[in-house]
Amino acid sequence: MFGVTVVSFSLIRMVPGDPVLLLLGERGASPEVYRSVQQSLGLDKPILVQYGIFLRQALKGDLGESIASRRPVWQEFKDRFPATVELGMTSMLMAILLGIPIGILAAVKRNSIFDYSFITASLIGYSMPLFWWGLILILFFSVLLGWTPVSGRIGIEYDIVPRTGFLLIDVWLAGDGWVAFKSAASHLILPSLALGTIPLAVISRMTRSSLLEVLGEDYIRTAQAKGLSRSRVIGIHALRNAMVPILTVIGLMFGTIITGAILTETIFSWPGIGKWVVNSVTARDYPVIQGGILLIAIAVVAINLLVDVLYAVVNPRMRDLL
Amino acid sequence: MKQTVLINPMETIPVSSEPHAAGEFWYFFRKNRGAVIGLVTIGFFLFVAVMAPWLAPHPPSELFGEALRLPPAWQVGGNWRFPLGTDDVGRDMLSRLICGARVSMGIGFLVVFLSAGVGTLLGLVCGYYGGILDSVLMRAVDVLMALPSILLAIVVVSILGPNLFNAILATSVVAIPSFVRLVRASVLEQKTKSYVIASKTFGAGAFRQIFVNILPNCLAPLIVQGTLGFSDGILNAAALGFLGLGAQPPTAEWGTMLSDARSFIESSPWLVTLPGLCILLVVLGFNLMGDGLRDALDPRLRK
Repeated sequence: MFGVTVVSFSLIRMVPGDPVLLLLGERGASPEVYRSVQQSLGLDKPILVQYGIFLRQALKGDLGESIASRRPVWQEFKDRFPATVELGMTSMLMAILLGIPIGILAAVKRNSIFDYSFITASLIGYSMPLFWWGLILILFFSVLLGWTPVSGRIGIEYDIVPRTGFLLIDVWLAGDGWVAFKSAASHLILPSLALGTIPLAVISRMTRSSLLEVLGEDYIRTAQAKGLSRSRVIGIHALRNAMVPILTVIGLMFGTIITGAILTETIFSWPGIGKWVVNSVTARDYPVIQGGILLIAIAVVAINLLVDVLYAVVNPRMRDLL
Repeated sequence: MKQTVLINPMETIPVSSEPHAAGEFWYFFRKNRGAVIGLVTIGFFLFVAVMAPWLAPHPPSELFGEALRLPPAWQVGGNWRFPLGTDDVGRDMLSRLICGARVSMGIGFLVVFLSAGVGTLLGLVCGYYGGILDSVLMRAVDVLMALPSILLAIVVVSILGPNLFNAILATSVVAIPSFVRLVRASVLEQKTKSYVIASKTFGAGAFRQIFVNILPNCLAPLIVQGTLGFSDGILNAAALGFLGLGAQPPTAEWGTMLSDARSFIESSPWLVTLPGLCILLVVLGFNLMGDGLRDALDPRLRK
């Protein structure tokens, strides 16, 4: 964690170009004004002192304020984070809810046409360039069929006051009801589909191979010999043990989701943290990049921890290691 | 091919002579249909990349003012002079895609060369010597791996400025940690083997131990990772190009072509579909071959 602060701080300071000049505009700043702005941003102090200040403030939960918008980085992050979480959660849910059943089906019907077409599809899904896939989805569903909107989170006719930050919930709290919910959901579906494709491919592939491995074990044959129904053997006996590697992969996929969110949010103009960080890089908004990277890294580490804990719940053998 | 499938694999290997390592590898690789398809795909794109100047019907940057956004030849309004149509300033799509193959393959080679080179060296040193250097470097690797790769690449590019070379550099930096980890793990495993200890008793120096004794035995996972590194490298560089942080517009790079074509998605969909399809095929090819190589090189995964 400490390392992440050093990296995010030092990397950003190497960016050529002067944020003070960028803020004031290319021309029309007298040296006095320049110096006073520099002082107010703390950019006149030696670099190590700047880092020390950054670290002390960060520990207190203060990540500085955005040079461009003059709002606290934490505030900006808090405004955008739910959008990314909403997108990431729906993608992940879709990947899990579709991926595991498809994987089970492929494993049970091993070597059938379904299995072969599944293997091919998952390989293609895994290699899919996300930014292209998003455009293809737009081309097909928005341009050709006209079913879904191209970008944004909700139709512009709605002005929803964010309460939870999750639009799918906020529309109900705001009392706009079903129509607004449908608008929000239709904006959400394409980005989730695009973002969920790679996790879907990986999760279903892992489900298939993990289940196949477990199905070859002796205790499965015992369960079958006891006369248990096929669905009980597969659904309870086999799946329970096959879940461990699947969970590992799901945990790893959260990192993929965050990476993918950066591209997906750019394609669909989704106002989340991915787009925020990309924009701030172009704008050389140091505090935002620093804080943004730090917060994203914290999120990734926290998710990994959560996955480890979940692990122990599913697999008792892991409990001693925690 | 058909005959060997019918015969028990154990019988096809002659009992009298030890099978040659390369022959054995080829035998298992060939049996994996996906891997062969991958190899053929890569071979095709490699051929196109090398022969690009001779294969392309027009120079990739030549503007045909009279033919703006012409659809592919088989569609209404198409023209066989431009088999895959033209883009928004009247450049021939086929020629640009062919030259794009050259750019993307070049990117892949450079990224793998740089990241595998640096990563292997660091991994060897870390694994062999251990100590403080190892701890410090491995913590750095942990930090780099905690951050999403694209994010890191974006930051590196923003430091150095957006152009193709810096995008390659950024993509390579992002790929280094996985090589360091992989090589370090194999070195730690090999270091305790008796052939290394035997060589040490004969007075072999560190250089000889690392490069002559240990490195060749770490090659198998390194080759697999290198192949997969190709697809990651091409994909990440194209993503940077797409975000406007990689190759800059006149260059015929697939990711950059995609981002240029975004505003014409409704009127001229072929500008969007074709470059992405090329990226997908190349990445798919490398992934298929990587999987095949892993199966063929690791005796435990052979069926």
